[in-house]
Amino acid sequence: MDTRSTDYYQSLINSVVDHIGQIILGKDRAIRLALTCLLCRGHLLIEDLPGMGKTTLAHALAKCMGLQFNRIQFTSDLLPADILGISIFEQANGQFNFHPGPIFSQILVADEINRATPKAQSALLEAMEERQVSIEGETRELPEPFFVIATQNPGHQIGTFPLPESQLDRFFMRIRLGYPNQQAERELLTSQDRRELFDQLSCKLDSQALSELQDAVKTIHTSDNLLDYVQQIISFSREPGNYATGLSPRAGLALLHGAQAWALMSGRDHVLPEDIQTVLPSIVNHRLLPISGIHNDDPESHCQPLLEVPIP
Amino acid sequence: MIKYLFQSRLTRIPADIGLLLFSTILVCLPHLLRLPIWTVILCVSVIGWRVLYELKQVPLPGKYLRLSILLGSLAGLFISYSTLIGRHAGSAMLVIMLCLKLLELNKKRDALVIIYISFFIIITGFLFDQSLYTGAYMVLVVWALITTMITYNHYATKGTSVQATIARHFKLAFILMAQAAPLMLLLFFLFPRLPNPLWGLPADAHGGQTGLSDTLEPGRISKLSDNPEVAFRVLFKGSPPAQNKLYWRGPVFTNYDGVRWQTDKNSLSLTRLDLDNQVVSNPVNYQLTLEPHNQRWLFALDIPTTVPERAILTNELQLLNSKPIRSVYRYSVSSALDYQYDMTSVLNIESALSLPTNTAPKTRQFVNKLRSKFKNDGVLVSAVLDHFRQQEFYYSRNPPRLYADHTDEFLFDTRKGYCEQYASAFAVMMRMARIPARIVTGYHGGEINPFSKNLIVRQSDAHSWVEIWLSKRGWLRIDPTSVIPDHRVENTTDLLQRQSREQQAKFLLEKGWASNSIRQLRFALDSIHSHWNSWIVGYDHQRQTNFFSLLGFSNFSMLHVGLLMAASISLAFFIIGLLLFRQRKTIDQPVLKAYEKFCKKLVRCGFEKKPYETATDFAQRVALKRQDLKQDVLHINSLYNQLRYASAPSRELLLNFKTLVQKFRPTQR
Repeated sequence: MDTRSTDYYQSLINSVVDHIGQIILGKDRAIRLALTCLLCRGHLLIEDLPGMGKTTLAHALAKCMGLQFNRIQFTSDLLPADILGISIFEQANGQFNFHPGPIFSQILVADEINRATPKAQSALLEAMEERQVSIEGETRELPEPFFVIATQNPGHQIGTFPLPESQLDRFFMRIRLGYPNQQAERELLTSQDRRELFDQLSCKLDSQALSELQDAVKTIHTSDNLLDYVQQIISFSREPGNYATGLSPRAGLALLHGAQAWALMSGRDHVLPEDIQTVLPSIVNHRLLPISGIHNDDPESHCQPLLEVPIP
Repeated sequence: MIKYLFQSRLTRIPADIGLLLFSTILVCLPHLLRLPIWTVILCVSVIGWRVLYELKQVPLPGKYLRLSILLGSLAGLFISYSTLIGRHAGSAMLVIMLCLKLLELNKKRDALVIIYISFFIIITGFLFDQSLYTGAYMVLVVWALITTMITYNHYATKGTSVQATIARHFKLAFILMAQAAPLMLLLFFLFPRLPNPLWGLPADAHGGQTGLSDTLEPGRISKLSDNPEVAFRVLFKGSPPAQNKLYWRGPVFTNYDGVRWQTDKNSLSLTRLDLDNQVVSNPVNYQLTLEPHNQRWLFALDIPTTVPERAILTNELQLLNSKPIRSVYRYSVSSALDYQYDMTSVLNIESALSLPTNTAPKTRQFVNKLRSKFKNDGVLVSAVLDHFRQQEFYYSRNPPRLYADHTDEFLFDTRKGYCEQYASAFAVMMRMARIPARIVTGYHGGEINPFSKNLIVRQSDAHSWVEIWLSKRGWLRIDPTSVIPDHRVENTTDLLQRQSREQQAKFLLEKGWASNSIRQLRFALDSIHSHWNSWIVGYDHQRQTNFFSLLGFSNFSMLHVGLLMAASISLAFFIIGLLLFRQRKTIDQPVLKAYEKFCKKLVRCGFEKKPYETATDFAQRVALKRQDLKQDVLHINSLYNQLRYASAPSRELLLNFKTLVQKFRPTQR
């Protein structure tokens, strides 16, 4: 592999961010976080109210990556076979032929994942973890790379089956888009339809470039001082009285890995504490269970105490 | 665009490709000097092509052209050397491959391949030449190569010029090499040396070595006369003998076919007893360090009385080693400068008298005339020498070529010759007079190096003389060249050649041609060479044993050496590890201390850093409120982040950081 400078990677990622930014206005940070997730080979969960641009972001990401993608609209009557595929008996040759489902793609956009029943959800979530599916006793490999970008409405909406914590943990990151700011809102209102712009979106990366970026993330230096900081955050989350359950080792790894990707995007070859602080909310919020367990608490503020852990 | 970025040429730092080309040229240079001319042209044009590509984007050759150049050059090598293996063909092939690789240099991997092959090619250089100069040159080339390697593995630092980056990399490479040097020395001196090499060098490995040969024909020795290479060095125990006694005996020639003299292949080995019967006196002991000459003979002062290990003494008093001398070889021997030896019992006198029939009729006539005049052998010899002295005989390095009968033509027509013509003619005349005679070649004289006290004998000291056998007197050395008076020596260099070195120096000084200091310098250099030869090139099992006894380990086995080596290397790694560990500590503590100082200074201005606040957030907070401090604060912050979180922060950075904090004096508002 040809090793290039972090400057080069930064400019490459910036061009992707700018590109998607033409569609999703004023949401650079969310776009960057989403890219961070993809650079760490993690699956992404986008959670927000209807009409905030979740699907558009998922779509734009897939298109910019230059990867082959499928989309499934999750509904309450969706069956696992609709996701994974099914064997159908063909009379012509007297055999069962497998028809792969939409999951056999490099990017799977799972829209409104919490509208499907737990049965359909777990079919998807198992495939996400194993990166392979077992259908009718036969194991089939999923393509490489394999990303799931799932969108969901907040849990309190009508007609949702919330994902359990164990399944949420399979998502590397959960991000929110939030309302656009004034300027973006005005542009959104005055300019042409987003869907028309979509057709103009060109592919900025290919799978080779993507895997090169993913390899580059691992080369970003994490100093001992930084690791000390990460460990203090993790142990704080595990101290009794702070959270019902602390951060798992997987969460700790995800935190460090995400910070590496963020550092690469910022054009640095080493991770700084601010990288940790930047990616921390989207990586830990869906994994932390507050002691009170009250649902009307804003889940986005779960991580606030962790951000106040002193930096060594 | 993606394609461009990921399959792009190596244009990251434009200078790195330049550096690579530079070191490739350095690597190839010594080889190009001895390769056939077509390979030189090929390599130069390939390098030129790459340079043109870099400068003017001249397209590089395609796959098929590259392949055909490769096959063509392999065929060419086969034609030139009639093999593809061995020292010459092998290194030529490597050099060509290296240059051709430049044409498909697209990725970092290709550059690294070039660098690694280069390291190998550097080593092959030692198959041709093991001198100090080669060694020094190779160290420089390794330095350039390591710099290139660093350049290919480092990212360009923002805001540094290319020159500064490369200068930094050169410095880094130097430091790396300096750090590796103790380990190298350790391995060199402690790695167990076996008494016999594990594998042999290729058969053609010793072709280029100069020296005397086993046939003597006109021009053989005069070819050596302007070769200043050292033949051997001698260290005398006690004071060295007088210059005119320094006849270094080498190959002896008995068989003559009318043109060429040849050594007697059937010479017998002498026993100790034979030697003891001879009358010898005035013994000298010395140690001789012989440069490789790819022949079996060893040199010793006339006449050797002891025989070095693994050597024999023939009945012609020639020392022969059991194997050809292919590396610097050191031996101790003693000689008797005054001697009388007969040895008719083991010598076939007939072979020292035989001449091809019809050789030199005019000379035969002349000798017969002399013989009838002087019955006594001794008187006859002086008469012949007088003939050389009184008649118009000239001494010349470039005598006219002889076509017809060599002896006749030389004695009666040209009358110009180098030592080999005089020796040959004299020996032929002696044999015609029925006096047994043979030619001895070797070296005459030498100069003392005042630094090392060594006597240096060079190829240009090569000489040939005659030995005749007189009854009751035994073998007697006659040097017919020495009777030619100085005014009949053709030019000054030839004259100098004949004179002893001491006279030479005086002569040069008188003429103002050489100052004393140049001479001193030459001797100092030679002294260094001599150490190089004995400690580096000639560091073998014997030397290693001596070295260890010097250290106080007199009784040891190879196992001990191995253990000692392993222990020393572990110790070295332990020390390196300790230093690295300390470096982290020593960098980290002062950084925190200085940063604390920086924070205290800001507290006075009303800015307090919260414990969970990152340094960058804090700096930006301050910068937002205090525009006047913005530049300093952001700069200090970026250095702090680098020192705390970047990989391997340098000490310079720490120093820089400390001085910045020191100078930082925020005014209170």
